[in-house]
Amino acid sequence: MHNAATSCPHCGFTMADVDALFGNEDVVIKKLDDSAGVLRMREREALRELMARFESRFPQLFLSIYVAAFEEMPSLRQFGFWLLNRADYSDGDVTRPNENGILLVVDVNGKAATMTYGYSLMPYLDEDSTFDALSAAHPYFLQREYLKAFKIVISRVEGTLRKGWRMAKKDPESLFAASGQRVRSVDSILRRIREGDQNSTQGPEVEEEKSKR
Amino acid sequence: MRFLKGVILTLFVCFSLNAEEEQLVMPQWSDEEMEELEGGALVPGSSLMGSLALERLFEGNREPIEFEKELMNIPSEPHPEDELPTTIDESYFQVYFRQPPGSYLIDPQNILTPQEKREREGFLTYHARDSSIDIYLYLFDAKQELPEGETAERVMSEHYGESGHSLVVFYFLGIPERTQIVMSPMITETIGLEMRKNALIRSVEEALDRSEAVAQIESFSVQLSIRLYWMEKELGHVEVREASVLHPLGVEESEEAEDEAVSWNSLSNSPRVRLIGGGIGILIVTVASALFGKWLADRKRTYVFPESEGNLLLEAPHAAGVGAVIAYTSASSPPSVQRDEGSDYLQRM
Repeated sequence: MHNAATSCPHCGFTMADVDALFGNEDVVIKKLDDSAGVLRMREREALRELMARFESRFPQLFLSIYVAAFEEMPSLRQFGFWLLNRADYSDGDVTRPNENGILLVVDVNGKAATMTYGYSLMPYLDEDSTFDALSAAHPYFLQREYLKAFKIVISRVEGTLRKGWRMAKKDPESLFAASGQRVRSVDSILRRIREGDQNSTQGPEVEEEKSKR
Repeated sequence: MRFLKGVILTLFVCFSLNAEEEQLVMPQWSDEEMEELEGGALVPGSSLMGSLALERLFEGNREPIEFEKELMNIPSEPHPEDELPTTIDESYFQVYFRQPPGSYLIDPQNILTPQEKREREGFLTYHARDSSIDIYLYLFDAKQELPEGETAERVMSEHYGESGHSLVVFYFLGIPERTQIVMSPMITETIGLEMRKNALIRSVEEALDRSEAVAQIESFSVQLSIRLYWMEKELGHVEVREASVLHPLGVEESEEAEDEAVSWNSLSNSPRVRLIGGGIGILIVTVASALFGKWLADRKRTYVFPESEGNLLLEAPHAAGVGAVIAYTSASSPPSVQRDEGSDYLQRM
């Protein structure tokens, strides 16, 4: 796909297609959403601490984990793509818009996991690096030790981001150009902060998904 | 009685035959003697046994036989020890006392056979290569007395100097109790008298366990070598063989250098090695501290990325970066097999 394509040049896929599947309204969720109920309270606390530590290391970014038990999920990848675009994080920070987020979705029924990331992270993450992170945690996913699996995924993602950060320090233009982006001007940054996160409505489809669980 | 007679006659016939063969004129039994012999009055060899013994022999008495006075007065053969010299010939003084030794075993009188000498020298050489304390064994005969004014201490002070670790042993073949040992001042300064005395006593005791004189030297030197090993441990912090006056074996310098290179003791005690070792140690600590500091700094470090902007993709407002999908349905298949290839988000459902 071309980096500036507004739709898939082959099939014309756009955001509207997944909106049609999962809903075209934003959904309010928390950054850690264990609707599948696979994490114990202590595990959730430990995971929140990990996520907070991630945010302290990467002050512009945030990490979100969505653990669900879907009855039927036609495409986990499309769901992740849709959710990060439609999620309104109730515990989110206005300085960390969804463009700067990394979403890890796990379907405990379908036994699959995927990762989606915002525009800001496109220069640093790709399919291969996310696969590396997920495959490192594969043994723990198999044993349903989700906390350990998430720890490893986060650790690997941090490593990839650190490498990307070093590269961005040296030559940000080239790095951004490879993913069809450019260095944002200061005016633009301030404008976006003032705008904040405008998504605040919960979509009926997500409600429907949750009720299925 | 008949049996005795038979034996005597057989012997007689044998002797007679031999005599005939050699054409020698042998003594003949007279008729009187033959009668006495047959009557039991004459017993051949009775003059050696004595008359009393003869009576007891025929009485069947089992009391101890007492020899006659004539027999008792026969002078016995001189004991070999009585023939041992008690003085050392002056010609050996030079090698023993006047000059530095040419080997670890000093035996100018050739008390030992060449083979025995080689074996003992071999052991002492082996010990010298393995130990920082050399043993110089001066061998004397059992009853030899040292010339006046010559002592082991004097040999030590004259030939082994003040430096180095050496041990001079004056060993008297067959009488280990007479052994004298003197250690170089560098040893005596560090090693207590008790330990030194103990080394000598144990070595002599080991030697006394053997009956043969040469075997005693072997036991003595082995035990002494063992005792010196423990002394070496005590001497660990002391400089070893830095300024050794003598190298009795005449080992080439290159060989010596090799020996020192492989000797851990000499390495650990060398100031140069210590300096290098200290430098390496400091370097390791510095690097470890730096790495730990870096790790600590990395832990607290924050990573701020340069802000980027670009066009929306697929009309998505926030995110179009779709990563991998991985299944974990099978424990036997690797993650790569369970990877969901292809970006199906590009396709309309």
